[in-house]
Amino acid sequence: MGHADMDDLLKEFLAETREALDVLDSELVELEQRPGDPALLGSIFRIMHTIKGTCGFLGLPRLETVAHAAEDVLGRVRDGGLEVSPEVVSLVLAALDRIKELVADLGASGSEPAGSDDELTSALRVLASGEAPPVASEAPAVRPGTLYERAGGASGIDTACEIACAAFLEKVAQGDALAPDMLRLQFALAGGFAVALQKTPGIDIADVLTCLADNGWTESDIGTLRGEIGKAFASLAVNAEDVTALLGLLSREEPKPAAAPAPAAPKAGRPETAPPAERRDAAAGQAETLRVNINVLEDLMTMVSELVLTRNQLLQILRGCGDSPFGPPLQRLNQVTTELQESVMMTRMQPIGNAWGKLPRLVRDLTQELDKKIELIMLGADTELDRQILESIRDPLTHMVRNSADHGIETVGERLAAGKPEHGTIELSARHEGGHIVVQVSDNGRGLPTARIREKVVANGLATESQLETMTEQQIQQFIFRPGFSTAAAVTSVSGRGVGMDVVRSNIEKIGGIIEFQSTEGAGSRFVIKIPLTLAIVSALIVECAGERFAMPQNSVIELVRISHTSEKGLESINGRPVYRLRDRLLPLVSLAEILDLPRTDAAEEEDGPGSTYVVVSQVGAFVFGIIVDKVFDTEEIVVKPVSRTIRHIPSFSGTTILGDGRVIMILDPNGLATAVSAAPHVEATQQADGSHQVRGRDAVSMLVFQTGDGGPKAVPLSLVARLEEADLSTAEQAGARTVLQYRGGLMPLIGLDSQPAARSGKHPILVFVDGHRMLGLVVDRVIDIIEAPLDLQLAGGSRPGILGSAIIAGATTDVIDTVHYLRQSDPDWFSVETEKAFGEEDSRNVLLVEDSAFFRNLLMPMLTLAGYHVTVAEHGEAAIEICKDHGRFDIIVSDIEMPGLSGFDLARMLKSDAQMKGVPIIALSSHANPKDIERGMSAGFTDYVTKLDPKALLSVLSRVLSSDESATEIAA
Amino acid sequence: MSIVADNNLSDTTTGAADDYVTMSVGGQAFGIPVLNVRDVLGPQNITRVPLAPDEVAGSLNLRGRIVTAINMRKRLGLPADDFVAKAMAVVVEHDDEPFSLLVDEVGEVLSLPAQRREAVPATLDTRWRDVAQGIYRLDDRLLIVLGVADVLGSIRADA
Repeated sequence: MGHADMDDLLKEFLAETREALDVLDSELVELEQRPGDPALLGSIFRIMHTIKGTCGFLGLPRLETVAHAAEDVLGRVRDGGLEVSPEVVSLVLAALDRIKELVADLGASGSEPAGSDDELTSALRVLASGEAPPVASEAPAVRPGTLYERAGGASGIDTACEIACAAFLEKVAQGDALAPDMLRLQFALAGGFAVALQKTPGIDIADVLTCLADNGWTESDIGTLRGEIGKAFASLAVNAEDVTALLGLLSREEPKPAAAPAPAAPKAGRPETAPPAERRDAAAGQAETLRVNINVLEDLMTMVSELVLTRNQLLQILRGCGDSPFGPPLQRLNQVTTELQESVMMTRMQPIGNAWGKLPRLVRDLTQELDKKIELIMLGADTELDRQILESIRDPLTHMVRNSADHGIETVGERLAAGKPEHGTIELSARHEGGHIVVQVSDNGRGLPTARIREKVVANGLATESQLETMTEQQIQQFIFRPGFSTAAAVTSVSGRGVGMDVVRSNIEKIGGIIEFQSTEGAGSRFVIKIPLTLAIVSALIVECAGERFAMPQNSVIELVRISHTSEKGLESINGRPVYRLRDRLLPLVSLAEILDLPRTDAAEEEDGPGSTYVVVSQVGAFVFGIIVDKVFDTEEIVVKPVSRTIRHIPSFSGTTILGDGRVIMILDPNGLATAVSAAPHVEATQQADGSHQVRGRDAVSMLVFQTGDGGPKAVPLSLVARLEEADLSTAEQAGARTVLQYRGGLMPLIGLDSQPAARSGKHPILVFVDGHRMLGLVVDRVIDIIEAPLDLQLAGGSRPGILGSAIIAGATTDVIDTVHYLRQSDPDWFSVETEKAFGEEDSRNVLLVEDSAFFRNLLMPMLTLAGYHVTVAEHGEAAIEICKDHGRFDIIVSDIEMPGLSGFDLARMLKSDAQMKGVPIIALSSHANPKDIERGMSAGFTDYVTKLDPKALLSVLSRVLSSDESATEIAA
Repeated sequence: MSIVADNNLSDTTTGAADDYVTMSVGGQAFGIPVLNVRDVLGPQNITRVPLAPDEVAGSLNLRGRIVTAINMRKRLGLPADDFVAKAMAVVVEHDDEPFSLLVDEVGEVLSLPAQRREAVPATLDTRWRDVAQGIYRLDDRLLIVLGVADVLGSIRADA
């Protein structure tokens, strides 16, 4: 055997052993919790045994000695001579650590380091020798115990079989051919001995031999094998008498098997069918996996990506040339490529549990070291993700779990004093979520007090007091990720959470991920990591805008609408704020060219073109909006590649990809675009123009501004308007006292502002409000604009019915109309139906409405009152707390999220920690609810989430939550 | 002293010599240690990235890898009209990510003795000082040694 072979063997041994050690780590910890599990114990024993055996073979005496000693201890545990106790596990773990050190040295230098392990091995031997004499190594003249024990117990027998099989292979001519079966034979033999000697149930040794014979082993083969087994036992210092007895077992029941082959020697057999099922599975598993160098996989992936691109290119050419003889083979190529691509992707996917393997051990050790009780819960360990990403999150995860165990979870005494169960819990979870993987690390420890972070932030000069004043608690907590935060002082005073978190964040961000931290003092902390499935192949719609192409992930696209320039039906582009009438709703539109600041295509080119634009209707969370693009192409399978670091801060992009024709294009991020809808540059311009400085980064509202009758402009929230129509009022009819219009096969009552009968003539715009089958048309003279702006009512409506108040919109004083008033006028029952359904004649329920915007207070309060609720209003979070204290119990609280001072999240957390208030369901109001917000809200203690501008939804949620009050309370608590 | 003399010098002195890929941007000669350079490409089809920092010219496809192209003229504060379409690309790697530096021309590889490298003069424009690691005085021109990390490190707006 050449030197090079030896190196390869060593390399393979190192790789295998490292893996095995990781498994051992977690299995041992598991064993401590389930000491009676024979399968687990068996597996641990086998792994340790394999390590020992291989070390012996490779001539690594230190490793072999340590592994042997540990194996002996495990052997005794398996034989029932020793209880699994923390001491036993700790000692075996110590041996494991030593093995790891040695293996590490071995990997670095290629040879075992010098040194002695006597202390460790003798401690292990003491354990192993508890009552029976130590095994194999020194089992000399005296022969106490059973034959089984004298043969060296399980480990001795296993070793003997292994040695025998190896020696046998070298002796037999066709040894190479038999090699693959030898492992099974070895296990089968060892199992057989154990069965015969210990009278345990299982396949007897004789049956193993029967099988050997059945599989065509000749008598001389079996004889040789038998001889080798004898020699092996002898070499393990089993005395001669016992060896004979052991070999006797091998020949004892020879009559059955010997039937087939030649006469001379007795026993016969062959491995194949004999091994106990479980072992066979193990062996089969080994045969079906193959160790492959990572680089090979990487190269393979790169080449497959290239192949996919070339395939796409070919298909594109094919589409262009109609009938072609290349068609069928290309289709075949297409299919094969797709399958190949999937297979290669699969080779890279690994369960995230692989990155968690070391954590149970880590937590266990910390538990012992710190005298805490900690339970580690791991959910979704089988969630698969790309290898590369797995490697990148391994260390950050370990760091976070260590932090949680070390600093997050309190000692038993502290926990009991705080009224918590003595066991702290650290929960790790992973799940797929729309093209991302979300990993959470949470604990129910002491949490991180925001006040301390503030102090630290100010002390380290990361922000000033006044800057902190404007931040939410959530924002302040994110400071722990700042480099300057990890100072030595922080370790002690802020429970060390800050240590190295900046490194964690940069690691996560390197792979295009996001990390967030949430903490509630006294209740625990939580890290949420969202990582993309890079290299994932997704289906995307290719669009073009201003001559440049972009990919839009197909899963966020609801539908496509083509708008011809000749009849721009439905597309309202007023003062640059476009909306689109899509069936029964008005869709806010955003122009991709505008968001991305692309040069406008010149008018000439537009006229030459197909004369149409497209609206890609997209959905993010509950928010539906349209994106205007110039052209729409095919959908294509694209390979998502992460965005370069230099441009990662641009929210509009989620990745990059290469198209079929080889060109690079950006992948749009619908989340980023949705944010752009509410913060388009246009809005800022408007705000600056009107010079109002009341904007404090709060929700902007799209308002439809119109003109009717005399007086100034009027406005109504766009989201309440279902459609904009234009109708000739001369076609309207009188039905009783009402003016109605035939509309979409039904009658729509028309109404004018100030209750003036809608008796005008000529064409007029009509704002249509729809609720189920009911409709109402509000006739106006002219629609002026759609303006997006934060809204603050300057003058309350006062005595004027139908007016909520006045606001400055785009520099002009504008009356904001009270839609509820008009809806009620047209149909007094408009908002009352579901109320009756919900709680009929019961006393009206008490609702606390927390909302800082006068506009929304004025919008929601009358509506809630009409619906039969008794409404109390708080203008900000602090006031809400006061009111709760004074007023006592509310049935339900409806709160805005973004408020100056105490945010909705903070309010919810405070209420949930208040004994008196914690049972009260809280509903969050926000302008657009994306999934992240909802999740955050839920974890802060909100019961449900409602879009602010949807009064119907609010009413139905209210009645639903209240009617299932009890269960809701349970969940909330 | 001529370039030939330079070469002689590097051959005869015992001091270590460094190899540089030379290139010119706006008439100025620059050098990048040859070991940092992965590839040199002719004019490429570059996809512009909207909203990207000014220096980022876009992305290009290099045998299936997406490479971010950096407009070196802009990086150095030089006029860059009609530059990208005919620029040469020098591919380098930074933090495991490939970048291509767009330059006017790529020249020969020079082997220059390390001890002849001089410090960057304090009078140099800060944009240039930030990316320069040293200067060689060749007989007909000055060669500024570019630090790849310095060129690329700062192009990153924080989120």
